[in-house]
Amino acid sequence: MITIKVANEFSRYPAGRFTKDGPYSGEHFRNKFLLPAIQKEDRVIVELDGARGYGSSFLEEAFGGLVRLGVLKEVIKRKLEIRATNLSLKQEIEEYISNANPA
Amino acid sequence: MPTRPEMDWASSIPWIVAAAGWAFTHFLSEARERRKEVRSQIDKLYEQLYKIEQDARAFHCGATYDSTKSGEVSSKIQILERSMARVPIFVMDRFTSYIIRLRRAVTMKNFDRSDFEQQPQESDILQDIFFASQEIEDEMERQYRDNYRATFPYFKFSRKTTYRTFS
Repeated sequence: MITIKVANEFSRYPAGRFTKDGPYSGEHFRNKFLLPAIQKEDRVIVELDGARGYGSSFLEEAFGGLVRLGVLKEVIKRKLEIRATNLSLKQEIEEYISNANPA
Repeated sequence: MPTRPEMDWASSIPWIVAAAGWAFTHFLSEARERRKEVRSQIDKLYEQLYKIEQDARAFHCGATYDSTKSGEVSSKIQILERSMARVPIFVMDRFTSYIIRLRRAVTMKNFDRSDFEQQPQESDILQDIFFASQEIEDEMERQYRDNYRATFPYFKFSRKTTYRTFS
């Protein structure tokens, strides 16, 4: 099991969809943290508290992007746990995972 | 041997009436204070929401991409949700979809450096932000009305939940 604390390990200012949008983009977070963790670990906890805020484009690319890269939705749902004080973040991420289609 | 005088129950009635009157007045006063406190919290949320809408509009209509403004507006949406959770009468589950809609309206399209274009006033993005903001206001008022009457005694003994129906 691994716990990823976004604010501590990635950035307190996550922003942008793609790497070209900035150093703390959803694409970068997905490739550097999420994808390796999902591939290696049986359980991945992502703690969102502590960051200044999240844009939908960041969230969609980071989490919906996993599906586009070929990770099965069932695998993501089984392994991934989102922890956030703001309830809407968890639900929004779940929607992006459900709605994304493999590329 | 002295006999104990019989208790005169009738003489205690004024005291009972006075105590009941005090308790009822105190209850109404407390309820009124709670209602005013909640109203004040909701009015402050309106200000926060209005500021988010204004900031989002300024960001999307800006001539160039402004990373500071984009960071501020997504931060304000997060703070808004946390502030809403502090209002004791609010059922946050009922707000979740509206908050997601607002965040999506502001931060999904045209929010990153790579896809930013200055938006005209009649842009769909600005319209979406306006409607998403209105929906949050409406839900706040619905939940307020579920808890407080508009006429005397200005509160409800039982909560009646009114849900918005989507057609």
